[in-house]
Amino acid sequence: MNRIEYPTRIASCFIGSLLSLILLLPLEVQGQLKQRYEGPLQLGDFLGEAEYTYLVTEGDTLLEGPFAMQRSSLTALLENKDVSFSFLGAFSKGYPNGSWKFQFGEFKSDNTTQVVDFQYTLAISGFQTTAAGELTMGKPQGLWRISRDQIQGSQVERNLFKSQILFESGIPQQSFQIADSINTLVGRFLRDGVAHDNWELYTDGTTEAVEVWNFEEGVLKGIQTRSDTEIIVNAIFDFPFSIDTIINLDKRYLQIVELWRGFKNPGVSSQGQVAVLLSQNADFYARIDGILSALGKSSFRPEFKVRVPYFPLDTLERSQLDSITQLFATSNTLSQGVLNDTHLNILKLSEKETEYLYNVVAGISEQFLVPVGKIVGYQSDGVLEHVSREKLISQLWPDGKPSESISITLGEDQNEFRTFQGVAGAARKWQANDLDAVLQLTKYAARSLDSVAVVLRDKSAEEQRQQEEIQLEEKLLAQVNHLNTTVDSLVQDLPPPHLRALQHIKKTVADYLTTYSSEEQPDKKVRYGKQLNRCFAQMDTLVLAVKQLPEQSKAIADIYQDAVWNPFTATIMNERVKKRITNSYNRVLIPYLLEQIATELDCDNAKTYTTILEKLHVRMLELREEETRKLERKLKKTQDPAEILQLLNLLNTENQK
Amino acid sequence: MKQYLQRSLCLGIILAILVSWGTIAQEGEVLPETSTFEDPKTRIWFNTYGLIRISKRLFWDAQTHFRFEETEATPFIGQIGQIYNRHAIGYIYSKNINFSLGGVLRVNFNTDESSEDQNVVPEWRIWHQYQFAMPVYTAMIYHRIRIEHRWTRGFAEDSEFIFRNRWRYMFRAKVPLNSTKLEPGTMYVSPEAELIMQSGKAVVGSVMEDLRLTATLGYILNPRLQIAGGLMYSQGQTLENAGNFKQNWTLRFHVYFSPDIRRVKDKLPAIHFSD
Repeated sequence: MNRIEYPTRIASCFIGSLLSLILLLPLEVQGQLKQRYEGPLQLGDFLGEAEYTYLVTEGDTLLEGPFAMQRSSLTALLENKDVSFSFLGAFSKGYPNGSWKFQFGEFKSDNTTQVVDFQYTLAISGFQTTAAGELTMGKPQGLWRISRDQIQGSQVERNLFKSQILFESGIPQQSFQIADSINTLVGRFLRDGVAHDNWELYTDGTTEAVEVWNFEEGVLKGIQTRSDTEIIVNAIFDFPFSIDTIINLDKRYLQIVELWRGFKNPGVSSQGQVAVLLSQNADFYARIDGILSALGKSSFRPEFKVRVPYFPLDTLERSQLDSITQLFATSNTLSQGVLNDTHLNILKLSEKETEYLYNVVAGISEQFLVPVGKIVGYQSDGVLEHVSREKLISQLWPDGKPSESISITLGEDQNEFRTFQGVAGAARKWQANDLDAVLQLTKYAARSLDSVAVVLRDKSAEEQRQQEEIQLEEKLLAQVNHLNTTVDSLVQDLPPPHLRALQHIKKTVADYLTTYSSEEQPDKKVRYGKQLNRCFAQMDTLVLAVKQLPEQSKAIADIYQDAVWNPFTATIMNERVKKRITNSYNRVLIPYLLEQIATELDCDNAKTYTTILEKLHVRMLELREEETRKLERKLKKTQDPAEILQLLNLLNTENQK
Repeated sequence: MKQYLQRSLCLGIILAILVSWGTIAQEGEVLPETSTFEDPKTRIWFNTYGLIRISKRLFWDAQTHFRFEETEATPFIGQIGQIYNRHAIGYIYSKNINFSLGGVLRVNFNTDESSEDQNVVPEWRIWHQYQFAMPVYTAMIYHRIRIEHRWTRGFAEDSEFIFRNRWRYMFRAKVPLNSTKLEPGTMYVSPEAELIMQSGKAVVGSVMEDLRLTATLGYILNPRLQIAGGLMYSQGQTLENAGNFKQNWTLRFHVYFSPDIRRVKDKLPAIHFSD
């Protein structure tokens, strides 16, 4: 059997299922052999039934020939809703090649069926997304259509999204069209896929474009929006670019555009519809790319090329950014921890100092951390190198950088004021609009948060401890009450040794509770209380075990009997059997254990006694059926409880004391 | 039916007691036409009864009695009268019915202090017995029919064995005193009445050999061991003269034991005879 290597790009789950399948096939792989797979397959989030053929070439496995994978569940559909999918296409030497069709459905059914031409039909409603087109060696070729439709009663009710793009070896060509139920975006590319000319957005019922993105060889010159009364033209970037670079028109680009638009027009923040449509289209392509990438070598992203300004980060800036990212992560966790702490949220209502400190954290979070967080986000999204840092930073703090002293309002009516002051003079360091200033400001925030959080953590812990103590005490009292009630209710019914044991349990528990209440050290008290909580639960179980003893003794007496026919009376008499065992039980073990409980009981051994009592009963029931002559002989020689427990194989438990 | 039987048995016992006391009242008169009652002798019997289970339905009945009687100087236990060995194989028909068949060797000692004859002679018997038990409320009652074929001889050197048949019926009850049934730890009282009739060539007129009336107090130690003790009054015609009645007061002490020598696995189930 040969070891099969598989291209690294294929998802590990797929390798797993395929490998196990191939290894199990009793085939001699010589040269090229086309093989077939039919069975379950997982591709990313998609798990379904697949059917395909593949080649094994010198240890490599390549998909070759038709490919089908689908999933739909009638049961799920009838119960609630079904999420179905179907991928149909073909591969050539591991590349998706030829005609492909992807369908994704989310359907519900009204559960009414009809029989038509010997088939049951079931009307469904929901959404269906279809993507179809040609692929040449993994790259889209020709016209690709993607559409999302709303389905009502098994009919297409309306189209929610539609995109038509013409490709040549994966590069978009000529014009394209993307539409949702209201808007239609039309645009065109140069031969190399670079956006060019006007990309126009039309809304239902208008003949003139309502939003126009004007590209010039990939550079977005401006966005023109039309309202009922006026046409507004907004420049986006600053021209000319000192350095520029070509990137794909994807979400990152839209984010860059959005940021630049904000620089130019601080008041206008709403994203235009063009961006919305482009973003949706990018999502659909990304989804299909995910599936194809998991299967073979492919590059299925619409490579709309655009040109953006480039502000490369130097070494110093990069190291500053690293520090900022790190400090932000720590501080953010800390401040979120404080702000979401339930104990502190309660405590701040009743305690001024806590309220003050809590509000300091809220203030630092809002004035320092939130804007810094955005910078960190831009960096991780790869946007930061395409915007001017100075513009970005000044826009993040539009009213100027925060002061080092933070004013806090307090009280129900917000009419008390206090000021928090961290390191004096620190604010001087963060007045510039560069990354160094941001780093200084982040450091200040981190340090201030640290100092406040220490105090708050203690307060929270104290509050938590108090809450815990109150709950614990309630629990302990409830346990003690329950135990006392049980013992008191048994006074009438039990023999004196049993009662003595029970009274002692009651007394032990009361003594422990007294010790608990006299403990003054808060930490110790809670720890001790928790121990008592467990201990009292065990004591309660022990009470039940002792309570059951008379019944158990009777049950044992009943089963340790044989019916014997007596010829002199001609009657059947019950004869006690295995008397040595029952005597050891009744005369030695039970009195011993009750005595132990009545004199030696504490939290450490309560569980042991319970276990011994429970096991002893079970053992007694077993011994009635077992061959016990040897045991009886040994029992005859001893009255020692420990030895008897050992003979009954119960001493292991005893040792656990 | 059961009640009727019970009532008539009860009456029988009362009547028997009355009659026996009545005859004692006639003591002292010596007339050819009227019965003579000898002075009652006092005796003491120590009896062991063993019923040894040997199979599901069979048991070995082994009894040994030591019977003493008065001498001039000592009442009750003055001298040995008989040593009595009774054995049989019993068959358990059901919980309440069983049968036995076996033999007896009784060793009779000459208790006539003035006699010059042999001191000891044997007596042989073949016997069979049919016993029926029934529960009545908390008590049990028993009917026992015992038939014995008996060879006896006198103490004289030239004495020949004579053959007689004995016909015995005993009614007995066991009434628990401190319990609702006969079980270990139970003290019970047991009234008995037994009539022993005899026949044979040697028996002329003396058909009532013995009438025994006993009151016994017993205690069940465990299902395999019981003890009892009681006092018996008995009277019967002497073989020599039908008009002559002998009388006895006997103290009786009994040990009843019933071991089971079967292997454990054969004992189960212990109580189902009709399987």
